[in-house]
This record gives sequence, C-alpha cells and structure tokens, in this order.
Amino acid sequence: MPKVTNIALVGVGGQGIILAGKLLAQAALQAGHAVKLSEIHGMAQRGGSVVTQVRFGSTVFAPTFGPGEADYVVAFERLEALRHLPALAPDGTLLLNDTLIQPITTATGKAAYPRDVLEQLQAKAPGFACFNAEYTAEKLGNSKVANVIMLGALSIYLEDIPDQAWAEALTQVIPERYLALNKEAFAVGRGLETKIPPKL
Amino acid sequence: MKELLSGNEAIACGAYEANVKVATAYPGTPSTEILESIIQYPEIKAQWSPNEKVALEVAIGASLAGARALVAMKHVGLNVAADPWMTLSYTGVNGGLVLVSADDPGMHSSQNEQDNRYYAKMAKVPLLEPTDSQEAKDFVGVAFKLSETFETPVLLRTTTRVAHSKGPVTTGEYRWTPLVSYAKEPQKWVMVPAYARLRHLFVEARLEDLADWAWKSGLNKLEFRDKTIGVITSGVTYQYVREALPEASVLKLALTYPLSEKQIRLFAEQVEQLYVIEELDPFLEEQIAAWGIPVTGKTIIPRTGELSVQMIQKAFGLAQPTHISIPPTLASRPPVLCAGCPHRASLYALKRLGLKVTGDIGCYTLGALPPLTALDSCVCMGASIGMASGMALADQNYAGNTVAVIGDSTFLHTGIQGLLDAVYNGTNTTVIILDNRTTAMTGHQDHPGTGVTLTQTKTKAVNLSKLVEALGVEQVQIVDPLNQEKFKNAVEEALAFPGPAVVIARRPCILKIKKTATPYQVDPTRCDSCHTCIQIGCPAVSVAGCHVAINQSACVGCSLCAQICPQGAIMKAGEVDA
Repeated sequence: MPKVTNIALVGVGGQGIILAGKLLAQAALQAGHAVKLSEIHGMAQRGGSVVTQVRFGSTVFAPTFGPGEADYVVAFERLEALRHLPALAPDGTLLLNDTLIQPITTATGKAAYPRDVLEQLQAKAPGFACFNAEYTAEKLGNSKVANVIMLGALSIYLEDIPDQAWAEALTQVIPERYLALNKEAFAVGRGLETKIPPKL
Repeated sequence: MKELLSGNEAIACGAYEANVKVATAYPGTPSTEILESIIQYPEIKAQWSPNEKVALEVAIGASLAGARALVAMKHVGLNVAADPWMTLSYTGVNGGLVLVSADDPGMHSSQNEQDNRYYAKMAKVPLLEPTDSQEAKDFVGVAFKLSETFETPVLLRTTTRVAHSKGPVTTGEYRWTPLVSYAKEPQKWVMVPAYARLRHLFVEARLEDLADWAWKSGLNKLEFRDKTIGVITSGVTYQYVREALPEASVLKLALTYPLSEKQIRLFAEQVEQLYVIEELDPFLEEQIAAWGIPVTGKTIIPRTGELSVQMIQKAFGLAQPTHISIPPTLASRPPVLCAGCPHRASLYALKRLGLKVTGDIGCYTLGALPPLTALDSCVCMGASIGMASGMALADQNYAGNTVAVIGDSTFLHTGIQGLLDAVYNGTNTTVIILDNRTTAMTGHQDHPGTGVTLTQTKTKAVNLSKLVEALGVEQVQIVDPLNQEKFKNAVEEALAFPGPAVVIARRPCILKIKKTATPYQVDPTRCDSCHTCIQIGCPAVSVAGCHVAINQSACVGCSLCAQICPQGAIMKAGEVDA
C-alpha cells in the first residue's frame, strides 16, 4: 500500500486545534495529495482532551489511524503529548508546544499532574522538538496564533507540501482581517528554534 | 479544484445541487453542521424547528406541496420523530423527502449508540450509507431520485466519522426544478384505517421493487480481488476494510436496506470465506444468515463502539503496529463547564441545598462529573421533568427534595409536555429552567426563545415565564443563578410551594456574550485552604501548594468562587492587599 502520512494534532478543547487541522488538510489538498481529516465536536470540546487526525498521500481510505501509526504528533500541551504518545510510530516525530494546562482532575487535587512529563517524553520519544509557541504568539500580539506557529514548525518536516500550498491554504481558510497576523505567525513558526534538548 | 468538505457540509452541498427547497432540523451532534452549512444557499428555505418531530412534519408538508425536502437529526432525534416517520412510509411522498440520521458509534457526544439502520427496516424504506464526503454529497441526489421514483421517504444514514471527517469533494451543478404538482389524494395522504390498509400493501410491494432495484442500480459495488476472503460492508467501515484487508474482495453496499438476495448470493458464491464487517449491530449479518448463507460477523467483530483499521486487523489475526506505552494512571482530562458558566452556579447551589436533581441533555449534563456531581439522572431530551414527577408519585417525600433541571432549548424541545403533565395531575414538581439563551452544547444555535432564526433573522421570542404560567404553573420566579443567595431562596420557595413551581435561572452562556469582568484573586493571608472553591469545578481555579490559585487569563470574573468562599478570601484583582 502506498505511503500515507499520518499526523495527530492533540491538545485541549479551545486551543485552536480544529482550525490547525483544517489548515493542514487544506495545504495537503493544495499540494495535490488525497487527504482526509477526522475531528470530534460537541461534548468533547469543552476543555476536554481533543484530537484531530489528518492523513494525506496518493490514496487515503480511513479518516483515522491507530496507535503506533502517527508520523507526527503535534501536541499543544505537555500532558496531552504524553497521553497521545502511543499514537506515535517508532520512527515518528513529536512536536510539543511547551505549555501546561491543568485538567479539572488535577486542579481539584483528585489526581496529580505528573512533574516529570518532559523527562518521560524525552525517554520515550528522544530528541522531540519542543517549542515555546505560546510565548512567541504573545510577542506577535495574540496568544491565539500559537496553533499556526506550531503548524509553521511542522511544515519544515513536511517536504511534500510546498510553501505555495501553505500560503494558499492560509488565504483560503483564514478570514481576511486575520490573514496578515496568521501569515506572520506561520513564518515565525517555520523559523522557530527548538529547545533541544528541552530544558528540563 | 476539489473542495475539502466534511460529510455534513457535503450533504448541504448535495441538497443544493438536488434542488432541495425546504430543509429543517433540530441541532444535535454529529448532525448540526448540515443546516448551518445549508444556509449559504439562499435557494433553500432552512430552519431550526423546536424538535425533530416538528422538523419532520414540516418537511412532510413541504413534500406534500411538491417540494424536495431534507430533514436532519442525530440518531436519538429520530426517536422523537419516529411517530411521523413510521406513517410517512405509508403515505409516501409527493416531492422527494430525505431524512438524514447522523449516528454516533462510540458516543462521542451522545447518551446511547443505537443503530438507526433499524429505522429503515422498521419503516420499510430505503437506506443509503455513504462511505466518505464525496458519497455523502452524491447520495443526497441519489436519495431524492429514489424517493420520487418509488414514492418513499429515504433514510440517509451517516456516522460521526462520515459526518465529521473531511475529504475532497467534486461539486456539481445546481439544477432548478419546479414543484411536483399537487393533487388532493385522501387515499394516499389521509391515514385512516381503511386507507392505511391499502397503503400497507403498497409499502410491501414497494419493498420488493426496491430490493430488485438494489441489484440493478449499480449503486452497490462488487470489487473482486483475492477471493479467499470476501467482505460485505458499508459506510465508513468500508474504508477501514480497504486498508486492513487490501487484498480482500469486497461487496460495498450503498443501499443497506433492502438487500438484494440475488446480489448477496452471487458475491457469497464467488468467495471462499464470507464476512460481514459492520459497526454496532449485526444488521446486515442477520439478514444474510437468515437466507442460509454461511457468514462470519459479530463472532469476531465487536458490537460496541467504533471500529477501526486496527480492530479489523486484530479480528483477522494480523500484526498490529507496536507503540509506546504510557503510565496507566495518567490524570484524565474530561470536558468541563467553562469558567463563568451560569450552569455551574445553578448546580452548585442545588448541591449545597442537598437536593436530588433529575437532569437532562445539554452542557449542564457535564455537572454530573466530579467535583460537582450534581445530577442524579440523565436519560433523554425532556426526561428530567417527568422523572421528577415520577419520583414524587413514588414517594411524596421526594417532592420536597427533588428538582428537575432542563435547559431553555431542551425545555422548548420536549420539556413543555412534562410540565403540562405535572400541572394536569397536580404533581408537586419543581422545575429549574437553566435559561442560558442558546443551544450551547451543539455550538450556540438559536431556538424559539432567542428571538433569532437559523438565518439570523429577527423573530418573535417565546416568553418562557408567560408560557409556563399559561400551562397553569402558579409560582414562577426568574433569578440570576450567579446571585447565589437569591437563587437558593428562590429554589427553596419553589420546593415549599404546594403544586408545580418553576424557577427560571436566567443568565446568558458565557461563550455567547463574550464579555468578561475583572478576574478574581485569592488573598493567601485569608485563605485557610478549605478548598470549598475547588468544589465548584471551575477550570480557572486550582489547588496550588497549600492554597488555591485563580488563573488570571482564564477567570472571567463571574464571582461564584468569591460568593461561596467561607473566609472571604477571594476578591477582585487589585483589591487583594499586597
């Protein structure tokens, strides 16, 4: 079966993962690939753990993929990175937006937010790419564009989606008045240096 | 250039191309975006109806008048619409009528995972199941032709992974068609026993014709590859099968009811081992086995939850990819009520009053989870009120310590009748309408109480207190639940009132108003770490070391935590002594 690229975008409801998925899928389509995207709406959205899966290649059947099959896991939060690490293929790459959002279970003291998430990630996915997208987004004047910054960082790895396809996807998906900001965020994301090894 | 569309967006596009003139729905995940997407086509008169039964009845009327009509709902919505649905099968249609049922295997956002394919079988109408967005669009056109050719409503069934997956879609052309002419035909449209008996004969004959058509239409695809394994499948499961068993021969059913025995036999005879791979119930398998065709299905494929490529590989003993393991005790991240959500204030007060709370369907159902754990039940839309009445009937002591909570949209959907029941029978039922002025859980759709339609046109807003009074409720109070003292007093008064009483807990959804006040902070010198504020389950409030911290960027300044802090240690940012 021809190779399909599998990408999981994981994080917390409200972090802009649905938009990031839409941009990624649109860019893959612009680049001429077959593409499928799967997301979940409704009850799962409200501050819960969320996943969007994007797949592209010459032929794509299933809209979803399973454990051990993600070429890339783009995690928007530390604990969610760890939670969704089983998705990663043995030779897959983890990209982390290094931020921490307490789930209600740890905020209420009923469970512990693991203190050693970064160590665990480093042990299980050595050499993962770690970014301060939120901080960078704030410097651009809007913390909400952290999602597009992460996409920019991801785009470096996706050699079969050319720059032009990303540019077209941004123009098609982002409303006019936010386009300049998002283009800038994407460009900054592409040039963002990873904290390797992540500062523990 | 192909467009990237979700199954729901594709269905909307298909409705436009098929010249649908009327589209109706009540929002429900995973079906909601069909109507939200249809409004981009002004040629279609589209509306939210108060519930799925009314939505279908409006569509039936449009069909009677000669228009093509589409009605969309989530799987459990068809339970509400089942009454007109079953008899619509007898009357058939004038203009084509297609009902889209979006099922939710895996219950991503539902209270059950019923398999609505049985609704096609029970009503004896054709059932179409698209496998991706392109087919979701194309099958709408097929469904309308089928509907008008065979004079039948058609069930177009999607599941979450079709409805909410996006894929490339080649769009087609809009073709205007005039209304089908209207003729008064009581024997077809007036279902009194004498006429209905004749129509039942028609329905049975139609079913035979449809099975014959299933074979001839070419809609079901025979894909012969290696003939050791032959798989009959449909919907998104087809995609999983193609990937899990790329060499297997496949009979891909687009029309999953009625089945053509001839076609199934032909396929079965040509393969060595026949399998049916389907999500949820053995709907296809039972029919095929009943024909005496040897088939394997649910003995190896699970009956619950969603399927996946890997689950099918596992069922066939194929190797699974290895994957990284993580600690099994990882802190979970369930969905929560938003910071500033008015439901939190209502539910917390009910909990403090020590009440039993029959719940309903909406964001407030999240209040069943820790730390609030404020609900005692949740069954279906509108059930909270009848259930509170039933508890009072079982033991009158419950009347004094039980309340029903129900959202404004849900109350207008099917809650009114429950209250009417309490008034009519003089049951001492207390109802709290959690009036956040929107249908929040499905993404803020308007409803008859908001004064705005689906197309964002201003309209008359139903007055909830007047409506409730008109039903005969003699005590009605409107209170802001964020005023905890007033709200608790109102609930106590309602419980003490002899007879049905209603409290309208009115405050708009925080996401809808998008207005935030100065955030609150904890004064560590006053905080004695009692963690009372933690019990409200606000995502902005968390345990931090010995004390409690309020996340300043998440807090919207609703003041609930400050109101309930026994030490008065929570105050507006800036008021805390440095």
